[in-house]
Amino acid sequence: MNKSQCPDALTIQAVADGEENDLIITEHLQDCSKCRETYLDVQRIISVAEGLSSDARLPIGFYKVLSGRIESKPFPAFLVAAIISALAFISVYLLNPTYLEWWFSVGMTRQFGFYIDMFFDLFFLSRSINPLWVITVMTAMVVLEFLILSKLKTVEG
Amino acid sequence: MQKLLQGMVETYGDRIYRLVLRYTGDHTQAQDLTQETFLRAYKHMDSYDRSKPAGPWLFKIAGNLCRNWLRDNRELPADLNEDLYQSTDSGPEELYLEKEGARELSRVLRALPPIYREVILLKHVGELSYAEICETLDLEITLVKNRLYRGRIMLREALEKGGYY
Repeated sequence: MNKSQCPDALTIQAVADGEENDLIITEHLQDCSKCRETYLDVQRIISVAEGLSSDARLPIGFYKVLSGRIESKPFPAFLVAAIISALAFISVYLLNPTYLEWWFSVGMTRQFGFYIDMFFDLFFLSRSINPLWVITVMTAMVVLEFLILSKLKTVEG
Repeated sequence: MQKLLQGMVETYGDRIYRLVLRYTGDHTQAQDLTQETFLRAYKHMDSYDRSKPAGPWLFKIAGNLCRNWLRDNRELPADLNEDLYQSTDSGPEELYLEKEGARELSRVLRALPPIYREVILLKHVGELSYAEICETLDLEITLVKNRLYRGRIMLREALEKGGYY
């Protein structure tokens, strides 16, 4: 490109953005009024667009929170769902052992979808709520059930 | 690897945060998305080419998260937090006019087609160079220059229409 040749608008924009610093172009911009006008026009819209930025900064301690999340290993949701399902079976067994026998012999085929759904519901629940809370509540319920049943047995003689 | 991540947060954290804030308009959500950006970066650190600057790679992750966020939230927020506007030492009247201008600029930006908006945001909010924008968006340099130019023209025309230019 020679000094008398007008650069295109994209090149002028690149100069205004500080991406192009070819001496021939900058000299041309000083001599050519039409190109200088384009350059000043681009510069003006750049200064307006600069207003899109802000002085917002990340809060102090951001990295600390981030590294805390990196170090904490995710709780295995499948394991939680399996534990809760096992607790549910124990609970059913405590309430009525024959029901569990019936379920294994006949009910499993009829209600298989229901149990699969239940397993995945527990899986997603474990991902959204602290799984330790779910396990604790379930365990507490089974223990309570066991205590009530043994109390009833004592009363019934 | 955590040291590398810390360096990335120190170098690009604020810029990514400002970019995400432009999309969400909410500081809490912007912090969450910025955190998610760095968590993903940490998780996929193996795919990062350490011979190159991390900026484009991080902005690409942030951009994808912002696009997903926009898809779930339908559109850019109607307005941004007051404290997002750059503070100056102007008097009350000038401050009012500045804020009005900034609001109009945000409104006009929202109305831009996403392909132009994206390049303008990466340039002016993310403070990326042409080459970095190319890498972030996987585009040719001519296309980046073109989109930036056309986007700026659209921005100017829309501001002129509203009497803010």
